[in-house]
Amino acid sequence: MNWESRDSSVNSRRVNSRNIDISTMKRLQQQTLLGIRDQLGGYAWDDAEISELVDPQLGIITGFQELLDQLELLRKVDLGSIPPAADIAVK
Amino acid sequence: MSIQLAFASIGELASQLRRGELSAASLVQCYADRIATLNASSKAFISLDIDRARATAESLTIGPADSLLKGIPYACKDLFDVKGMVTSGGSRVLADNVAQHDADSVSRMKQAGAIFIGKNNLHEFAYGATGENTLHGTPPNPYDQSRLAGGSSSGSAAALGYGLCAAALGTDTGGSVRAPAALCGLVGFKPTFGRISTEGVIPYSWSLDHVGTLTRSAADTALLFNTLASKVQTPAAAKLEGLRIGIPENFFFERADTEILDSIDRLMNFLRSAGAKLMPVTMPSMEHSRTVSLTVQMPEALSYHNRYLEQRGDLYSQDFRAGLALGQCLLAEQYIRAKRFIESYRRDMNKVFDGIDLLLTPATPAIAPKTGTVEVTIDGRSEPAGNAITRYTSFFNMTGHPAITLPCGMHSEGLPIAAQFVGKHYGDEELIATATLIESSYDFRIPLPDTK
Repeated sequence: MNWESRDSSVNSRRVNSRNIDISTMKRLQQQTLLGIRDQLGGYAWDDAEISELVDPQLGIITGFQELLDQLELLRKVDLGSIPPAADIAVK
Repeated sequence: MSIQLAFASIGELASQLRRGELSAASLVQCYADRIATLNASSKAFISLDIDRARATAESLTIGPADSLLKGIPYACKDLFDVKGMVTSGGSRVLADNVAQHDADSVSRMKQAGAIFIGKNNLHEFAYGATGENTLHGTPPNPYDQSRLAGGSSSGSAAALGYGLCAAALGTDTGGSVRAPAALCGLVGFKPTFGRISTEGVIPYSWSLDHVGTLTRSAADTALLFNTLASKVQTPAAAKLEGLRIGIPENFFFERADTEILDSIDRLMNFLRSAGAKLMPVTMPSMEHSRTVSLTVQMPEALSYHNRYLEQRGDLYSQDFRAGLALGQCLLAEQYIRAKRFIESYRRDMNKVFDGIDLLLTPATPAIAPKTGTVEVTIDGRSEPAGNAITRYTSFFNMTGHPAITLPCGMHSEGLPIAAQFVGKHYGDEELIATATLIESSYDFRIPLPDTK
């Protein structure tokens, strides 16, 4: 597998298949995560905990924005038809 | 009872037990006395089962046909169920969680005649490699009390490091057995993914969790593996002559303490002189491997802990709650993509193993950090302490390859240095046999910690 992503810049312009420019990936907003909490279900995290993900003050794990930037790079890697990992087959 | 006994290997203890020079009851008492003296400072155990251990030991008769584990006192990380005892995960959340059954590993140890003596401290629910625990305190490194034992199986490493038991069971999701073992001068092993059952063990991340062992020698690791795993094969006689050992060209020798690299160099020279073929290998790109691991870990941890969050959410530590909250906000496709990357890593690693028998890396890029260290800086680059501790181990939790860490020297700051050997899928037996041979041939001996 060649790990070079097709585009190594997270901040590059994002154009979809209809050639519509949806601009750059924008910074995560607290309102987005509050929306996930309030509209998609899941545990009722405190506003302060949601805020920590957007604007980390405690130095807990990696910042969520950094993780999302990395995931955006990984999204651009063509994995072909490789399936998700499962058990390891006995030879 | 002598210090020598407290720090003896299982093999040495088993010999004395068989010859009648030592009774299981006196061995249990030896550790019980040391725990009474040293647990407050080592913070190794968070619950004990000494009375039952004494009763079991007194009832044992040990003969030549018995398992070598018969009469051997051991401990396990407090993620393993032991019937009738609380499995807390080192957390207030499960302070009343009394196990109804033994974990599969505990049951197998019992069947072999090993004597359970207590449960070890850990990073809460195995979330973190520093081994810090706000509820029970942070186990210090036996070689330097101002430094970390490492985690998440911090109490298990401290228990062996302080001479409080003969072996310990832990869990390894990114290096949580191998890294603390390496930092404390012990042998840490994780098997091929799935080779030792995780049944009855509180999960952290199902896709990455491995049950592993902490011991004083690779030979002891073999004894535990033979008991804990199913369908164990007798490996062919291990030999170093002609053994093909891969040396990664990228990632594993980068941004590491120079004394650690020097120790690995000396080990490589020994292996070469013994006839092994050291071969440079190009590893898969690991640039994003921590991202991949985290993207799998946090949604899986949340999925398990969701059952407790509504009623007991306030009892979690602040940092674990933050991690779980992150798990809530990842997209399903991101999780699946991360799992696909893991499959890709596995395939690429299997190709690497087409040309070699084993892989050799340093176990950690740094010696045990000072307790409270937030970031470790090497070659001008800083990273969180937990990331540094597991930088060389976590990849093999994703690929599922068996791996063992062995001490291979001492740093000028008085802390142990360790090497990591990685084997092929289902090559656990060969990996341990080779590690045992290397251990017996190469001078891995390091001084015992001064624990009194």
